Amino acid sequence: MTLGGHLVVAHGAGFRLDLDVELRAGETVAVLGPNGAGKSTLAGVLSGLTALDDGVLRHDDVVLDDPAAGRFVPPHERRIGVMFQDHRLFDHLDVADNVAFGPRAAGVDRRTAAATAERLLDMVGLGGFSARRPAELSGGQAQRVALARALAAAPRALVLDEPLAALDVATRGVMRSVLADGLAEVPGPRVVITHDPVDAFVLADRVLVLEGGRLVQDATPTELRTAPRSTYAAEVAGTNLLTGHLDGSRFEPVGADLALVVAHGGGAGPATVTIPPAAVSLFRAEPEGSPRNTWRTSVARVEETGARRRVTLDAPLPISVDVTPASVDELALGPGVEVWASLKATEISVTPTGDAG
Amino acid sequence: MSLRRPVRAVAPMVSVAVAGLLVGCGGGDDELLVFAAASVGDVAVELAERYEAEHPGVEVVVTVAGSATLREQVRAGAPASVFWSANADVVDDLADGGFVDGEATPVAANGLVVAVPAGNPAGVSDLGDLARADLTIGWCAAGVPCGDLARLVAAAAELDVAADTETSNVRALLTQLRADELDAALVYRTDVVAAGDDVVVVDPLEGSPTTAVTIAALDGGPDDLTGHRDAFIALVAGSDGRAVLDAAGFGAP
Amino acid sequence: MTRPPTTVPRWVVALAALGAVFFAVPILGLLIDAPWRDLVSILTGSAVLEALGLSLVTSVAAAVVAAVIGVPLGVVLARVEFPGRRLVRALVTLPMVLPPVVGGVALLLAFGRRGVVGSILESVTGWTVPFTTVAVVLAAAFVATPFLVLTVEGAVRNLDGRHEAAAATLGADPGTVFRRVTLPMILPSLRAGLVLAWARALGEFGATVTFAGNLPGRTRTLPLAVFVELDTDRATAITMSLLLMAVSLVVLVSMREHWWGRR
Repeated sequence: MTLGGHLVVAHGAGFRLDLDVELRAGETVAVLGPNGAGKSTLAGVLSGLTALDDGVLRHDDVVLDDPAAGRFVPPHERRIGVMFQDHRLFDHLDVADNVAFGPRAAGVDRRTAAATAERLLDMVGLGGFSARRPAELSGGQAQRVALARALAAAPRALVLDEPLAALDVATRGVMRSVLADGLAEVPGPRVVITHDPVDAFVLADRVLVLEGGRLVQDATPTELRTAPRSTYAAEVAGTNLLTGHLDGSRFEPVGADLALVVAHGGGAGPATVTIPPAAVSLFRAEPEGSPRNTWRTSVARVEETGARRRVTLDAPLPISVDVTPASVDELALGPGVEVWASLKATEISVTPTGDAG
Repeated sequence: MSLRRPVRAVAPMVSVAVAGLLVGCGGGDDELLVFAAASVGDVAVELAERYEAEHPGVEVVVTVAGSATLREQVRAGAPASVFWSANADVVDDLADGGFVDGEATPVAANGLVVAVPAGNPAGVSDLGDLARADLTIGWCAAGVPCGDLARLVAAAAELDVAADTETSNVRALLTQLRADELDAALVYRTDVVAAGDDVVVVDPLEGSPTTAVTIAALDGGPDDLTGHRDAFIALVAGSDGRAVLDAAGFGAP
Repeated sequence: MTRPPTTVPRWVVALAALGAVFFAVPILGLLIDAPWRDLVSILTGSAVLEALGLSLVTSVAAAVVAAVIGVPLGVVLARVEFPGRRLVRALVTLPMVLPPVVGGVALLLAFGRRGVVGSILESVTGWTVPFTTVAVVLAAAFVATPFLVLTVEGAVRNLDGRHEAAAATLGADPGTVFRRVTLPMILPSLRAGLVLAWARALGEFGATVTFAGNLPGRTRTLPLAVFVELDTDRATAITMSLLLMAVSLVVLVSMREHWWGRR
């Protein structure tokens, strides 16, 4: 079971999406790229909301879109589910009927559809919300309903289009583990469109990096981190991913002799945190002021990544830090140099991994 | 602003508005307002032009509508000087209300005929056919002169008219006859004369009841025009008026 | 929730008051002139009840016709690009600006015995439209449907298609999307348009009297009865005018309460 092909879409004169993709069943692929890279166009092409201008899109042996042959399978016949960034819930239906929409449209009887809706609402943690109206939900709740709705239609493939972009940082972590549960429900290919590397690292088996409508890298998250192939990839790949144990606002990374204070924690159990490389500041002397996380360490190495320099720190917390070349000179950074690192608690993203693993 | 054309009004509100407008912008001192029934409209306009030619400085403004419509406008305070009705009953109503100055004058007789579209597509032969339910028949509504007269005619002939529409204005019947939407209608003889070749008479209804076309002076017009008012009525009731009425097909009073 | 105080200039308030008076005075005139003592006996007269019944039946039927042809027209005008779309829109909305009498004449020329459609209809079925209750409904639908078309077109134009696209990805075919997403989303406008169209149909006069004639029990609706009675029985005419007004007012106000009241 694969979904993909050679995909070409030309939007006017300025933009052109042109890439080959192959999405396999049971695999979660993150499509990562800056704004305007063509990520959402790709989501549209897969689901049938955007037609190809050239190339061909296949689902196994079935041609879904082939402009040269004049073939185009409309969205409702493709059954490729999409969870939209703006959730697009139907305001005139309650939560249960929103989720039951897909089964009902497929001709499933009312009672069976309602049972499916109830099970999926339980799964996304919204049992008891059936009778609510979308207008009465928070952004995170609406996204959960949108996920349940997409799953209820029993999609052959599932696309999450910027599923967390509209949410605040505090809800993202929890929502990520809900998404992981949801993705596991789909036996076919799964796609997570995102500009946030954290989503890619936490949810995906494989990452496609898109820039300017082109595929610049197709790699596992680990490969991307160790060998980024573009400035953008390098920037996002520098994101530090730590697994460990969360207890309230205290996070203890595995194998590190240091505890971090996180702002968006809560609860206790296994968790993953991510730290953007630009969120860490380096000093020669112990910094004064507010940052809660301050520790003494030394520089392992310094690399050039485009316009910035990537500094990798040694124990107790081996993470990457992005600094300007001027800072490297000013602080005389080099292997073995002793520095103070400081990190704001609010810059740390937390994803509980208790159930999803 | 000179409005010598007749003001034909379908809806009463419209003609009230027009009448008010005329009085308003003319200052009211040299415009003689004549209310004329639809059936005498053409005759009234012709005589008004003749009167104006003989009396420079006076404009005779003719408002044409159904007699009953005009009666209601007079009752509502329209400043008309002359009321020219299709029958005597409507004038009597106004006299009872104190709107009429002096005695009303019958100036002509008018009768109904059975009229059909040119070519008589439905093959109507006489008044008796108006009882046929398979024909599309029109007549005037009860309460307006042509409607009251039509009911008199039908009663005299002991006939149940199978009407499909009732209009409050006899001209509407002629329009529908011309469009061939009606198979037959009871209309004034004079209307058929005015309609030309599009409408033909199949039963002239000789000996049936007729109506007395009546003219009356009204109290409601400007006082300084009473001379012209009475002179205009004299013109209509005199030999000049008689000649014009004859030409239009009206009978002697 | 408290709102910040909004200031409306005094002259705007003054003109608004003048406007309110302009609408109130004619109604006051009707109320003052109404034959209150005989009101009940006039209202329960068979002619009045007959006209009222006919008006209600034909106006509702006209609203149904408007819904059946007006909603698709509005949707197609808003969504489908085709050559001559502007012409079609102009045609469909023409009855709003055309004098209703002209509309009646046009209907005669189309559905009359000699009309383009009417002559064929008569030769095939032997049936003619003018002077029937069906003609009343057609005349009312002719003048009322444009109100619904414009409301629906505007509402559909305001939909950005995102929800319909979402429904399609959930497996809903275009028919299902239209029934379960598009229509419910424009429902408030649809209701408003239907009420407008119904109200216009209830008050229809000119096209009806021209195309359908004027016969008690068959084609004489309340407005036509008012027109006839104005020449013969003023008290009845005023009573029926009040009745017409009361029916419209009750429906419009109750609909407003139901559908727009919670603003």
